[in-house]
Amino acid sequence: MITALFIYDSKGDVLMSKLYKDGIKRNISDVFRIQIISTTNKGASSSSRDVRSPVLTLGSTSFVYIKSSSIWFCAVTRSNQDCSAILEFLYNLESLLKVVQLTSESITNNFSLVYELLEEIVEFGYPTNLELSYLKNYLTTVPTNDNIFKMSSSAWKSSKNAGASNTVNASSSSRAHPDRNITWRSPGIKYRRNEIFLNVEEKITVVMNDDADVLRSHVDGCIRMKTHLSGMPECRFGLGDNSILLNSFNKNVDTSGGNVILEDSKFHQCVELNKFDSDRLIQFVPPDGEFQLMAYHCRSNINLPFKVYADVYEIGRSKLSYKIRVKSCFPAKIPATNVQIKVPTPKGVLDSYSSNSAGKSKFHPEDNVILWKFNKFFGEQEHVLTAEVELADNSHDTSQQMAQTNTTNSILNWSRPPIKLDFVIEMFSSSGLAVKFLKVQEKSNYKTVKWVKYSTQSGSYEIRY
Amino acid sequence: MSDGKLFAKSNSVELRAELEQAMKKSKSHSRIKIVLRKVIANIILNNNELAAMMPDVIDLFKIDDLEIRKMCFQYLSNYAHVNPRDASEALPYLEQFLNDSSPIVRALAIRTLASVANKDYIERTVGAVRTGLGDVDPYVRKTAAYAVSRLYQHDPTRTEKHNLISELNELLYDKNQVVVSNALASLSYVTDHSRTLTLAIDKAHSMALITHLGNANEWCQIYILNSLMSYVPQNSEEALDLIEATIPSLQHENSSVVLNAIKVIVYYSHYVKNPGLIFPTLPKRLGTSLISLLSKPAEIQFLVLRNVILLLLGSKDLVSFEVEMFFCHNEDPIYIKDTKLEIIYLLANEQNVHVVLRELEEYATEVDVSMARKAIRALGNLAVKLPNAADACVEVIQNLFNEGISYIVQESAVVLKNIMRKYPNKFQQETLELVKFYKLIDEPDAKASMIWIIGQACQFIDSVETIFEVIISNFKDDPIEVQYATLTAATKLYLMLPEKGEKTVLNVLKWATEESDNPDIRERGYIYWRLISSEYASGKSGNFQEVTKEIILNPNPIISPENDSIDPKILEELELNIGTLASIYLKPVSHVFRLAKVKSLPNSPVLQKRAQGPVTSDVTVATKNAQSTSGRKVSVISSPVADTSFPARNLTPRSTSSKQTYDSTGSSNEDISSKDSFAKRLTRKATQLAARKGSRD
Repeated sequence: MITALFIYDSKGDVLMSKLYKDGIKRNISDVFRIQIISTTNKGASSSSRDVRSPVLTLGSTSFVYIKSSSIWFCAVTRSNQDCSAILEFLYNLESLLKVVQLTSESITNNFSLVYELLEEIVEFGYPTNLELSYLKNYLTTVPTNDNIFKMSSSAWKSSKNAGASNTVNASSSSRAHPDRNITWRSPGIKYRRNEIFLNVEEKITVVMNDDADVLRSHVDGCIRMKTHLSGMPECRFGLGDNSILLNSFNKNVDTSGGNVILEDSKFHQCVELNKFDSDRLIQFVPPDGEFQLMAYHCRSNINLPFKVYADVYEIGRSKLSYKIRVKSCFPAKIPATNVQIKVPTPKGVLDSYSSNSAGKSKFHPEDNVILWKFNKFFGEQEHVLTAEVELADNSHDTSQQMAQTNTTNSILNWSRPPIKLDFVIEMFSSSGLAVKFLKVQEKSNYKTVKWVKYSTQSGSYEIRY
Repeated sequence: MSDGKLFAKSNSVELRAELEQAMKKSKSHSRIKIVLRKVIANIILNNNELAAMMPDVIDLFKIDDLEIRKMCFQYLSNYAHVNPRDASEALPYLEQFLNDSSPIVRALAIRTLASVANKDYIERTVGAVRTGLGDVDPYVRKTAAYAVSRLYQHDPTRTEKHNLISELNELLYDKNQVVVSNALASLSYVTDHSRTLTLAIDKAHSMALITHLGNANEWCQIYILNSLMSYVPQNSEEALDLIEATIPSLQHENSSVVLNAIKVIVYYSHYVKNPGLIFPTLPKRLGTSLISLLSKPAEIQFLVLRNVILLLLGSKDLVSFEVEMFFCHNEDPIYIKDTKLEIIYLLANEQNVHVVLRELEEYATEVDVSMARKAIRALGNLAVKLPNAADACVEVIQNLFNEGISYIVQESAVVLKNIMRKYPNKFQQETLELVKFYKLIDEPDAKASMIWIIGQACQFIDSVETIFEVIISNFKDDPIEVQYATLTAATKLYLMLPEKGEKTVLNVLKWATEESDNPDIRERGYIYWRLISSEYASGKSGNFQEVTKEIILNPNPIISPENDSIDPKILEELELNIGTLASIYLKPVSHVFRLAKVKSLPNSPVLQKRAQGPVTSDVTVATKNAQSTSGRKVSVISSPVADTSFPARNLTPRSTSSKQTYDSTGSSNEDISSKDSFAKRLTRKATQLAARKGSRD
């Protein structure tokens, strides 16, 4: 599948290279650098415009690449290959190496470990297993305290001592669960306090018009779990009764209010998918530490957290008047934080005046936007912003002269970019999803402490007017 | 201990000296490890000079430390082919390691042996691999499985001769399911590169593999799903069983598992009659499954979107989408917005057209100029595609160009020309409105379109001759397609409005025939000149230029969006390659990758014949072909290829067929094809005239 893998820094220097198959020379790395990295660096002003496609094919050789902050990951392939597998592999590799942000130092400071890693996770160009717990058994180099891996180096050392040159771990992990090959969790993990943290994180995307009518809306949610559990626990996860997960047999779904309809859900590889398909049961043995259990998509019956009524009209030829009313529709006790409303203005504003019933508003001439910020916006409240902007007067606007001068100062030519709203709301789920139960079953029958947290974030909340 | 300081090039003399030092001192192992790490750094930095220290490194095999041994193995795999003489010294050590008690060492020995292409290595590897395939430890078996492929790439004949492939085949029945999946991956490499070997599995085995799916990790699932493509169902129930068994995999978070699952489902649905009847919710499930993949990073989104286009073109009934899910977000990179626009065009129909129009209108007023242009082009294509919605589309376009913004007006000119060709006598009002902005037009495409429009509609335009004069005031410097259009339009103007057009047409023709350097322009000029000034121009009844009008004012063939489809055979092959690189380019695999094996649906008693698509012979794709003037296309099949350095030698030159296949994008194709037909029409008329003259005499 993959013939060679290269990791470059932002200038194009090779930080890591690994050739998996014959038929390619090491200097192919120069080709990628010249073709992609140099052209991107040159055209830095309109960088997104230069990226035409995430794949570059020259002759029979293709370069599939991603960029992680300033680091480039490039997989070289020959002939037609499964591009989806390669892209997923690159992203998985990135998250394996990254703690917060990947830098060229973190790779060069651990180059021998990364090189060994690349040899273990991909065999002859085919990715085999990127699970950290499995890899610990086979890697011999100790990572530095830079924490290139997500886990702390102390846990690493303890397992390394256990498996330095013996054969037990390799086969015992597969013997632990004879009917399931659990490659993502090694047996023998022990914690004093067994706890599970569940985070339901939702991103809501809404487009509405100036009368707060929803044009379209959907919620992308994911459930992240952090588990500190001993042994090999079997977990069962259930959602509230009112959630309906669509499957092959639900032809007519009751879309009336009160039901949460999840159009599609994607699960981590540890979830037994056939049990889910037949019984709607989410059963799994979780990997140790943090992972994303499930991602879902919801399009109907969404509780809109905010309703915005926008009234924007022109006074004369050079003045624009705004009256923006924001109403919060979630329970009164819950505050929304980091609330920010961006109200765009045309270019060439001479003077602006704004007043608001709460929060702080300020006009930013460099971005042509009035920024209305709140520290805390509680539920079931309504606030208003009134603003007026005065523009440079362009009174000579017959269409012919307009065409010749091609100015965009006039209000007439203003394209009315949508008002954008950003926020974070804790303990509120806009899809209405609720976790009903999470049962943990393990041989030693210990008690588990469980914490559940919901949060809704604005994905892209736009108001057109 | 940070390795950063070690990451630099060195030479073998230095390192050899360091090794000697290290051996003498205490704690020699950790010092040796430091030197070896420097060696690894040099491997990464591509310094082949270090191959000279091979004997010293081989000596280190004596040390019983896994970390040191591993680094020596890595050194050997990398440099053995540079220094084969010294590399042979390592063979006795490797043989010894093959029988080591640690499975890790055994596996590494096999892997290193197989990675080296030297002759003596290959000989030893055959035996080693054979033993490895039967080892007790699954990790060793897995490594041996891949070692077969490594051998195969060095020496395929020997690998086959020693029966290693059939032994690898045996691993498919291994009790450890990780070994099975990896053996499948290894076999897939062999079958892809062999002319003679293909993977074939039977029903029992395919069901066994499905049960393995549930327990496997994501990569193994990918290999298993891929192998399911090798089973040919002999009756519909088998195909249905397999489809049902693959459906749970659509819920996996790894987008590759999902795409491969879809590939398998689409493949098996070819062997079922009316899959929509048996699985009524299948289209919706496939649709929502793909849409939830759109929350992944941009590159994966792009791949998914290209495959959505492929599915919409080939198996429309198997997927159902709501067009709103493909509306663009502000932060999307440009290649995603492009692809989404194409999908919106494909999904637009009479029911959802109003939502689509509203959305396209929003895009057209965006700050991003290229996005606005594409939106307007999409509006035009929609007007051509949906006759019932054409009025609404044109209204939107008119609202847009009435603002008087230059690039919008220019794009609207191109688009309106196409609309006028499809609906010949409609939209006169809107055309007049557009013509008012004639002063804004300066781009070649837009100019040619505007000139054509004026030529067509000259009877309805007031003071058309002044407008025309202004536009063509530069015609000597205009690009070729504008000059062609000018010639034709000037003649039409004269034919329809002789008093107004006479001066203009004389000017234009004089210039074309006497002052132009381009022979084609000159010839065309002469042809028009002679037509107009011919004594037969007015025909029998003596009406002004009747015969000439017949020739030139022929109604143009009506365009249609037939370009929506790709040849069914190509689609069939691409569907067998969902999720691969070929699905991005949407071209036949062998055109992009010369050495790739051609795939097609294997025959079976239940293979459903695909309905014959509309008759378009070739895929008119935006290529680097001379016929496309600009790279901006919203053609349905536009691929990113035009913008990557895709060598033209891999493409067979495509001729636009002599039928008026409409390329839903560029005007240039139409000009050239109309030029062809123009010449044909002329010869036809000339022979008719000659015949008439002959008969009269």
